[in-house]
Amino acid sequence: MTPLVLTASLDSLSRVTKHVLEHARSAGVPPDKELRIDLVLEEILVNIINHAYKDGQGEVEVDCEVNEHGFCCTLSDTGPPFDPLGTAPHLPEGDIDHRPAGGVGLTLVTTMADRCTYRRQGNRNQLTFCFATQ
Amino acid sequence: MEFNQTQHDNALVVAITGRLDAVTAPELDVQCAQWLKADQTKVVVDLSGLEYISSAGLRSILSAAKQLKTAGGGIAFCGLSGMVLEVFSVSGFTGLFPVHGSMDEALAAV
Repeated sequence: MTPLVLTASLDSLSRVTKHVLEHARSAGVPPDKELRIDLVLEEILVNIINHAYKDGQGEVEVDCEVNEHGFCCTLSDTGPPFDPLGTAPHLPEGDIDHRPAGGVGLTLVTTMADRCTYRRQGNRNQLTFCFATQ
Repeated sequence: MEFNQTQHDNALVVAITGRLDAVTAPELDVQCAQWLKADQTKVVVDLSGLEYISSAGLRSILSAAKQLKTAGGGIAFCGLSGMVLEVFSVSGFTGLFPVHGSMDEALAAV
């Protein structure tokens, strides 16, 4: 399947989501998982925008496939090596006054997806998430 | 995303419908600034019509809650279900904020 390559920006979010959801439906992912896929995609794309390309712009490549893990989607960037799954997800703590604003996105990704893996391939960070199919 | 605001005796009720994501979250920041400007510091947020929320939406909610509290008011939620309730729960927001089953309960608590 030909990967979708787009500028890593919020303007690309709706196109990425549409593209991936179309493939997820074809692959037989249950409709009640679509909002979860939507969420996982947004969190990963925002992470790429904010971290991989924080000093400028770059591209995100989106590749979908069906394999033994179900429907899988890989988002890759050419930012510095960064394994977002390398540290155990933990939620920020504190009451309303002391709780930091960030730190929730990756917890949502790992909780919502059925499977998440990271690998560094050449100069690319590749984050793959999978959802079981029917 | 849409905001429908109704003034009640002790609080402003704001029903948010649609999607609260990285693209639309700044609209909530703008709304919050308007509440504070109008001295509306007690807000009940009805999320029964919200179909989607991401961490960017949570960030704007936390920011609004901090500002309302600093201004001497507060925020309470009602109407959470489905994916929105799950995101609140996974992120620990159900323990951080008063989340009520009905608007009447939220109005009584804020």
